[in-house]
Amino acid sequence: MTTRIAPARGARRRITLSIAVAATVATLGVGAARAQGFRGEYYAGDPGYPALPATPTAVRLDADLGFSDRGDPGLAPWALPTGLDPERFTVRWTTTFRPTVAGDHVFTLECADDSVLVVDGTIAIDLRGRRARTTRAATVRLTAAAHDLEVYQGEHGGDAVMRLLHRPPGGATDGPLPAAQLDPTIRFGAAARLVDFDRIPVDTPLIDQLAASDGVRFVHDFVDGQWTFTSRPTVRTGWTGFPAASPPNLLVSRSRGIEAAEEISGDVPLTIVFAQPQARVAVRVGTAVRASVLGAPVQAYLLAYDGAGRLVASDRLAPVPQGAIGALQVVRGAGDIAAIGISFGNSPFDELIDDLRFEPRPGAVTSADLTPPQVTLLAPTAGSTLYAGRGGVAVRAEVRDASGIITSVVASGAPAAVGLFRSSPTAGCAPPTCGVYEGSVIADQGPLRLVVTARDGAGNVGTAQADVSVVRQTIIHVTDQDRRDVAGAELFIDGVRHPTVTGADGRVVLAAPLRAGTAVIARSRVFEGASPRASHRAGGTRDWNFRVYTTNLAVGLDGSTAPTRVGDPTAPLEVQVRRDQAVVGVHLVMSIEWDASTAELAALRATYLQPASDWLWDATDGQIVIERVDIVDRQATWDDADFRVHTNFSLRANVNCRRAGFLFNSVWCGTWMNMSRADWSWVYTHEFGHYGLDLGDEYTDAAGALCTAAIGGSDPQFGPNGGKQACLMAAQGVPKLCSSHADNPHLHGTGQGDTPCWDMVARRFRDEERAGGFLQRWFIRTPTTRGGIVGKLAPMPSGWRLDAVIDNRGTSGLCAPSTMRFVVRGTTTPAVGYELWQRTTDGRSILLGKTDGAGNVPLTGLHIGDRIDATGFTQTIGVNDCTPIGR
Amino acid sequence: MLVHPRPRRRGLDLALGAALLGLGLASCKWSASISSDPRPPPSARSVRPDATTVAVELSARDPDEVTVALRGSRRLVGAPTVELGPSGVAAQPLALASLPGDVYQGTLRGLPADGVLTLAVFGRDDRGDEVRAYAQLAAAAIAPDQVSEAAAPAGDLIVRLPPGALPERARVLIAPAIAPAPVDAGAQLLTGPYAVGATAGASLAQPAALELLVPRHVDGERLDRASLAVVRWSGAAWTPIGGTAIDSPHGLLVHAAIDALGTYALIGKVR
Repeated sequence: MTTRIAPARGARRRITLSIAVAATVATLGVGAARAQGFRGEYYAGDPGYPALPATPTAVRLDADLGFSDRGDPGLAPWALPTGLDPERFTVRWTTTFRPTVAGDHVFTLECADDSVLVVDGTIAIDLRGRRARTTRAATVRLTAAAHDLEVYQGEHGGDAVMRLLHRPPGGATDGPLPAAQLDPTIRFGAAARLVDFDRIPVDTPLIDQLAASDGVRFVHDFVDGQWTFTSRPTVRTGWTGFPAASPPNLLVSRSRGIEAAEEISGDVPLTIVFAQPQARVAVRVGTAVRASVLGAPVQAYLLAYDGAGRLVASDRLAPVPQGAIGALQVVRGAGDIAAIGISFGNSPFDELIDDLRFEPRPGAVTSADLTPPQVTLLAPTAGSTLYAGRGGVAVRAEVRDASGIITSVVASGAPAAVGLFRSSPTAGCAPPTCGVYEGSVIADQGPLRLVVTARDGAGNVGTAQADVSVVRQTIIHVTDQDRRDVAGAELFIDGVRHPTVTGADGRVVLAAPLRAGTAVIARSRVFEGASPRASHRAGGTRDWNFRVYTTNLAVGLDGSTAPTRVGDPTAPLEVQVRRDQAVVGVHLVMSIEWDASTAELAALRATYLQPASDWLWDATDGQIVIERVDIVDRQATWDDADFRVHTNFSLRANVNCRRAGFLFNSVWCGTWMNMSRADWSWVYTHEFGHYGLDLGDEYTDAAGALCTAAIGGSDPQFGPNGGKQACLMAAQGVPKLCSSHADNPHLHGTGQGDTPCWDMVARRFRDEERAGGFLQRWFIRTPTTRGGIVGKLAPMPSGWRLDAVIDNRGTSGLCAPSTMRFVVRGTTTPAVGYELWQRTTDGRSILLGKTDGAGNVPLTGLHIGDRIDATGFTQTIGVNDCTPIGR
Repeated sequence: MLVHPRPRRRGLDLALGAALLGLGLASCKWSASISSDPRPPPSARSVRPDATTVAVELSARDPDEVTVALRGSRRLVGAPTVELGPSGVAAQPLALASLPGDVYQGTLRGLPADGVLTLAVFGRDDRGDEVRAYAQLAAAAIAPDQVSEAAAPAGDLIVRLPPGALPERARVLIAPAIAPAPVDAGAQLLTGPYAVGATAGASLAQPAALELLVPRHVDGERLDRASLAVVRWSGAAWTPIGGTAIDSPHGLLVHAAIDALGTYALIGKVR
């Protein structure tokens, strides 16, 4: 039986090597009396060594090599097979020579024209080229074991003579090789293996299905590493006019990335790696058509490589028989064939590969070998816990055997036994008597008894085992809405940021499995905006003001958020980030006017900034959060800041000059969010509405209209305390922004003007570089585009809470915050509305605020020696007025 | 009004956040953890009601120069020391000239494009008492191609200028002004007065909007909202120009349209 083998990428990319049931070229003596002599393949034509014409015209047994068309004494006439031109033909003789005496053997080749003698894969006599009758001898040191002989004869016209003579060690005369020592039929001996591929199901990508059973592994030796071979494909794409039994070869160009870009695949080699080095390898090949697309005959190549990747032997078949099968074979007496590549040249059509036969170096194993291989399991170690990802559990073993012929090394214990393959030699373990073997086992979760079994050429078996525990990992695979792998995506697992991002294949393999139900959120940065301000470089490589991420977090109209949840912890978790589920992460710099303690700076984060981000999260239906804030005191980076937090307790927060200074640099004026040290979190959100979102106030206009139509309607969700009230820019504690959605439309006439807040936000944060195009990297969704007004939003993922970096530039001797109360002298009447000023020892004048209705002013940033001034009052802070808190 | 009333603050500081939570404001999502001075509150300090105050008048001749004129409520003995510079930064001394009527005047050049300037005055009055006075003024550039906002240093007065209301390079100056006359009986000055001017004598080419904030120390329950009004000093008297009171996240605001720069204040009656 034959099999088709098709290269494919995933399930779609295929080269077809078609099935054909065909006659073999020749069958030699299997089951009959043992033949002696040479296997002679006679070809029409004379392409010259090492090429061979297409298929042999005939194959026959020649007991001795001694032919002449000149009637030379002692030489037989050629008696060429019918159909051969006696002036232009080629013969390749092969046999196994088993001398009885070891030592220097002398071979003599007498010939005319192209002749070569190859002993154990090495050219011993080279008489290539058109030449007159020539005799040449060579001495080869042989053991008393099997050796491969190959004689090539190419006749180009004129005399046709071939004689091979031999003189054994110590011999006096040359003579024919002893026929009894020549065995042409045992090209593959008892240690040979035959793979007919029929055990591999149809449409199966070839990987290592035969690794354990036969010690061969399929490697996809392609330029971009994206191609795999598939056996006997049933899907045939895009080619018509060919017989169903002869599907074409199709590959899809990954570089062009679209399905229609088909490429010819015939020149993509199928590489087969052997677990053990081989001495002989043969394979049958065929084709469905005679010529390639260029009109040239289909050719097949067999290239053999040693363990170092060096080309050590090759064979070619041209043309490949159409509708039949021919043979490719290579022989290396040294037994060092570690891998072969099979290629059909530039052919787009069906080809077949079948009956892979291979054998290690013959004669190296003797029946007297009773010593089993010594197996040492290097990895895993007994008792260890293994995390089995896509590649399974890595197994590594050292195998020593005196014969140097290990026919198989198999790891078992898992559901499927897996063949191990020799890796690079290591110090202390090098061929031929020692090898390190590696592979991986796909194991179920739980205990595993791993057994490595090595078998040598004499059938001796050695084992090693280890009891381990297997933990299946969770693999997270992130793709975008177009199912493309997303590299560099951050992962948040149950809210906690995972330390690594997805690789180029969009995957992260976790060190431990996730439990079912675990929430996984991915976000992939698709944009970073350049800030028009300096001092915004922190956390990036340049000054930046916001980043846009695509995420997998879906937001429902009821305010719910839906991350991807783990189902089967042992199955890859597919996570899709979408451009219509974008999140904008804002970067702000906050400069504090006073000398603040570290505790105060930290409290700013917890008290104002994170709640402000929470407000923003809800207001924007989960599309804008404060990602990072850099906090510094003593007015550092004051001009570059976004938030200027003033000491003046009484200051009314405002954004000066113009709106949207966060996004646009004005040539006319600086713009800041001027905050009081006591402003509440929603004031921060409100001011960011001006500064960052380009929104105006939504207070009542002169006619009394306020913000939206339904705010005073019957539906309480749009009214005060309603989860969908849309007047964040009008009042405190309001969750949402106004929109044009019909359920609660924005009213004109407020400071926001005619443009509803949501439309402005979508405009300001759209993908400007691709505005309006269908290739926009993200979309900001509004109630209108979403089809409804989102309710109170679920809390933001904890991993998205803002990252605040505090830079305390304070000085020592700082006093704890306190409160000072004032009355009018001589009375108990509170002194109301008095400005209190701090005059620092270094000459700065800082307004602390006005006394409130009870005459109180909260103090902060004071040091011993500072002076407190108000109209009609002055005091220098002394030791008794200060509780030092360091910085 | 349909907006939420702002929780009133009584002597609020960061240290009092936790106490606010205890007062039922937990729903505000607001908390604080800054430790304050652990000692018992000290006894109240007293302010002298008859302390000498210093009146400051500011004027600008060109975009880079501001003139400061000082006069004490009592006579100042000798020219006071005056420092003027960006808020929060150690200021530079300002040379003063003595003018008739116990007025001292100096000129600051190199006015920053926008920002807050702090004026510190240190002197001695004719009683021998030390006089320490401070004031802030805002110098605000405008964006001529869009709506611009200029705020008083404390943010309690904001003027919104439509595009083209002022010449391209003009700057708005907002500084505390001296009340030239008392307001009507029963009412009191709540915010201001502020002198709202522009460099180079620029005047409004288009109406602007003025927004004044009722001070936080004013008890909202005792405030007569109907009495709130924006007034402008006409040169002889305070002239009401009306206004609309609205609640906002900042507190109670009063809006009014103005067609000229000048001295403005917010007045109202407090029971």
